Amino acid sequence: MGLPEVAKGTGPSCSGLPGTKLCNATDLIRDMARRPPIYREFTTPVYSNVGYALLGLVVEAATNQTFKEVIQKSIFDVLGMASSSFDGPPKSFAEKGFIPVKESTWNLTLGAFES
Amino acid sequence: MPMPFTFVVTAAAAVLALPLASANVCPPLGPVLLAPRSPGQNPIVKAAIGSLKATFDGQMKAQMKASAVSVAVKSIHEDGLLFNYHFTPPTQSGLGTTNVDEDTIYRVGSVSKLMPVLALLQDSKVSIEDPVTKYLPALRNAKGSSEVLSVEWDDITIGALMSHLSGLSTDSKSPPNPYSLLKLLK
Repeated sequence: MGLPEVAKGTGPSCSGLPGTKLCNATDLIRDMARRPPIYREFTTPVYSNVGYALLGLVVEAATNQTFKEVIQKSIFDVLGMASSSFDGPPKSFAEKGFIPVKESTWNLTLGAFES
Repeated sequence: MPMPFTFVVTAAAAVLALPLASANVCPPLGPVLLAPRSPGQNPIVKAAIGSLKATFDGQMKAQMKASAVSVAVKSIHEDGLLFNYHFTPPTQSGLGTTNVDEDTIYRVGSVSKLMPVLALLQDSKVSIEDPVTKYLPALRNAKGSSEVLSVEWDDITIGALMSHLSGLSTDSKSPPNPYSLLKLLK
């Protein structure tokens, strides 16, 4: 009963979560081959974190800048969002951040999954 | 194959045509009913805000032992906030703030998904109808062992990724191949 076990060697090669390495663009695109589609496109919604990781790479490819630079310049700077950041907390976080008890992932960066 | 977008436009046109065709219909919201310009002065809104605060006070105290909560509501027509509520839980980690307020920085998680969408919508060179392979051609090589197990990357648009309609899985974890489990495909 329950879900079948995932066979060895078929899982993701990276994630950025504790004990795993960060995914870069190459890792992410390579791992896409291991993952069959759940549905055909435009048929059924599936909340997809990997889809958004790809959008982050599209931002970089379309602008020839890093995702972080684009968001900083075109959104955070324009709107005066001085307390917002990607790739880890902003400087003022030590004073103004909220972290619940037993939360160990708050200062991780997630590589290609930052977006 | 960005059919849904075309469909939405057609449906909107059909809805707009309705009031012309039949009498005694409710007027559409917006152009006819003026937007409330000063909701903060409205006694009904004020009373609702008061009772919302009382409900929150009771619920937070009873249920939130270690989670902080911040809620704000703002009208685009007023400078101030209509509702501004912050809750500091009794149990804290010892890291960061001890007083949650409107300057508290949260870990926003998937709310950050707004950012790549906003950035791409602002970029006039990018269309949401572009296939993802226009920007990431290497995806064409990301194929499974058969057609059934492969994503049709050229048919997945930027808009499909934005609206969670790409058919891609949720996370990187590869589900066991259902066809292999049934011994139908390798």
